[in-house]
Amino acid sequence: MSAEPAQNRNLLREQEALRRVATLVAQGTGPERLFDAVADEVSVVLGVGAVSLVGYDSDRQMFSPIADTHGRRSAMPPGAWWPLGVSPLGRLIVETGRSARIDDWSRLEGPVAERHRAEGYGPAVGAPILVDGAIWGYIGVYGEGGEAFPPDCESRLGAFTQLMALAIANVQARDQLRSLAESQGALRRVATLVAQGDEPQTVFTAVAVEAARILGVGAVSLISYDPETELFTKIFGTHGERAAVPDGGSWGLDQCPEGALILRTGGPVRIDDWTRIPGPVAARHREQGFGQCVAAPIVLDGTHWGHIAAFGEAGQNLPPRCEAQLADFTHLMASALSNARTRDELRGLAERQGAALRRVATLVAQQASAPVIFDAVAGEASRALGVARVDVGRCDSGGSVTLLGSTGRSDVQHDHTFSRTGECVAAKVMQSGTAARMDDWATLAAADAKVAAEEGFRSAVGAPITVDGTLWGVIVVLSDEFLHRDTETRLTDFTHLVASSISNVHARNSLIASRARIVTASDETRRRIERNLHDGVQQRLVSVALSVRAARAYPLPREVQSGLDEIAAALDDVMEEIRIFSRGLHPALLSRAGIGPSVRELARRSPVPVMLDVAAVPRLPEPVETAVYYVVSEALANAAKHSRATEVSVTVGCDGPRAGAGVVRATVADDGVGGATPDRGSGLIGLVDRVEALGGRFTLDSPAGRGTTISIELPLGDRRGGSDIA
Amino acid sequence: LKVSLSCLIVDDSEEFLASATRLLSLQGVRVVGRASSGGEAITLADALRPDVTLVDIELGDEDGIELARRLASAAPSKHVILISLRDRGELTELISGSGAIGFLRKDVLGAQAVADLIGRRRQSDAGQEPPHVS
Repeated sequence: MSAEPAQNRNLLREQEALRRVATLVAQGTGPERLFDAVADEVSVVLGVGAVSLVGYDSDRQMFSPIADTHGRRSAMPPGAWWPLGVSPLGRLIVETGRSARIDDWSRLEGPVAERHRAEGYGPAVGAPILVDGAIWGYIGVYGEGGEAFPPDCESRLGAFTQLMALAIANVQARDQLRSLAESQGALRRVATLVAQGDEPQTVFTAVAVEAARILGVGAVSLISYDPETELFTKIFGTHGERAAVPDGGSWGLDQCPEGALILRTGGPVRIDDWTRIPGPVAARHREQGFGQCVAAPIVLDGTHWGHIAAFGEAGQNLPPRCEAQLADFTHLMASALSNARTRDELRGLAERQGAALRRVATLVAQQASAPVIFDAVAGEASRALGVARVDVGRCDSGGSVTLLGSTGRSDVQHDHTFSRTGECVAAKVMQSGTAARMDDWATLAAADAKVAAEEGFRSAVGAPITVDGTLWGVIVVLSDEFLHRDTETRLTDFTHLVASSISNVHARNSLIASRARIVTASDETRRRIERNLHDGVQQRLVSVALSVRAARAYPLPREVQSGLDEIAAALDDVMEEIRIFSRGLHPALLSRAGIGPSVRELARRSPVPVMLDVAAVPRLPEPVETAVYYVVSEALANAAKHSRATEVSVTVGCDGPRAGAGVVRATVADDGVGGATPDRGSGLIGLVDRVEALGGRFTLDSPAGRGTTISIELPLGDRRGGSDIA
Repeated sequence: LKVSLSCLIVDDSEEFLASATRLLSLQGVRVVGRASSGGEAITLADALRPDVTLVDIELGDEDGIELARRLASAAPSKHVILISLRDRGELTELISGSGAIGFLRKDVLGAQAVADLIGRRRQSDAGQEPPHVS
């Protein structure tokens, strides 16, 4: 055969590899295990000698090999961090921001290039992994010997790095959520202690221990500051015997570098290098093997109360999110301490806020839909803050807000869009990007204000929901009483949670879209190959076969006759093989005639008798038709192969399709032995993947001894599952 | 040679048209016309009145089933046979209801196979003997 079918075969193999990897991503496989799978698939598909996964640090000055298939040929074992300069490929990718290749290593210098040559590697290609718009790292492939990679190698590798990026983004979203939930849990424990009236020392101990655990650092100190004497006092530290200053000890500004820095900047600080800091405290710090320090101020009722300092072990690289975690923690702790004045109020906070945030976090983790999550956020905020009404809305570029969730409203539906250009809290939040309040409605002329006044609201507070650094939406609470001045702070806690849930759903949506693209691309490829075979090779072969039979009509010597017979028989075999291969690629009838005739054809071919109930199904989008076909086909095949069924019923029906709506359902039920599971090589897992990629639902009911029922539901139109909140 | 069938072949592959014509002619069928599109087929069938028209089910972008239906209803006394590279099993749903008297996979095409289908139809219509070809 010509070059085309070979190319087609490779394309097909690559699509299947991508689908396998996408399935792993969808199953929540972590980056390391996913890389193993990607490395395997890439090695086969691109035919390369070795594959490596490399990550950059946040400012892309360093890189770290995370995993590779070099084995003993590795230039740098995974885990260590290296300056960017030593990796020619890594540097090129950072400099250009895109895929890079190095065909000739002979004149490159440095340890990586030398090792590369010494191990006999040839050209290399790397494709960047983009997470949240930034280069997170890259996947590099290394050829054996001197043969250059084909020109499309970068784009083919890119398909795999996109999936890798999704897995990484997923894990990051999960990590963010987990650390938030942990912080909230820690807050709750601290607040509960205070509410129980425990000694302050017990509370401070708990704060430091919780913070050390959450950050995973060597030690945490809680330090107060007295502006009159300009002295720091160590309230409590988890250093134990490694402490430079005992608990209760005081020292001046010049002995507390992180404290002095915080007083200057007012925000979280980080000290990487203690070597040039003078004084006995810093010296003791070095002696005891502490490294980086991250610290954040504790602000109590608007005044600087002190700070929390976290000390990493020497060589420990505290991740960039450390400051934010610590700041969140001190922020929450400050409000807990501030509220300690009223024990009852505090007990309420401990119970309400902790439990509320947990309930919302659970919904997010269960991947509930957007309206459910946002209604829950509004409801919990309303209960925790004791306010009558809460609105959660999304900002758009035109200055209006779309209501996503609310509580205490009787007048407005979800997805209602308000213009927010007048004087109101949401507009103030959108203009300033920070929390805002409004306490006096009477003086305002705007229609919104009049409505609020008429409804008897006295006070409103709004806070921004910021996702990936941009203003995504607002949360607004309204009350018929004056809202306490800590409302802004407490509301901000909720917006952190909302932001985290949005980022999580965003990652899930892009995953669904990417799976759908891959499934569709794979089907499209199969269909095209089937078409090419039919119009090309098969058409020509049959013409040749007829010519051979025509030749046999002439009087010929017996030897020639029997030679022609052999040729004719061989041609028959070849054509039969191609017909079988072709049928497995794509059902021709499906493209021609749609679901109804194709399912009837499947029923006709089934060895187990089929009771058929196929409603008049109109032509549907090709991916949907293909999914229904494969589900019925695979279910019938399973019934015949494994179930020992005497009868199968097949039902296919369709609501709609109307514009952008409608659903198609298919059910295949047999009376066989049951006990089917998606993991026992039954081909069911491929179906689950296919159905879920289209945003549909797949259910398998197969109790032992009581038959197997497979049902699917596929949405029609554009809204193919996934939440639309991101 | 009792009956010499006249035949029109409709297929979008020139190569197939050539080899099928050569084979059928050698087997005693008079191939009176060849068409590679539906429009051509209708015109030729009108002009030539063949005993049988062979129609490829997948006629390029056109629908061979629809063409068979039109040919069969325009001249019901004449016969349409659908042909395809695919197995009948893949296409049964399309073939039934097309008005064609039968189906032949292209690689088993031959004068006897065509005559058998016509014979079977005539038998079921009027109890006649199938025609013979040399």
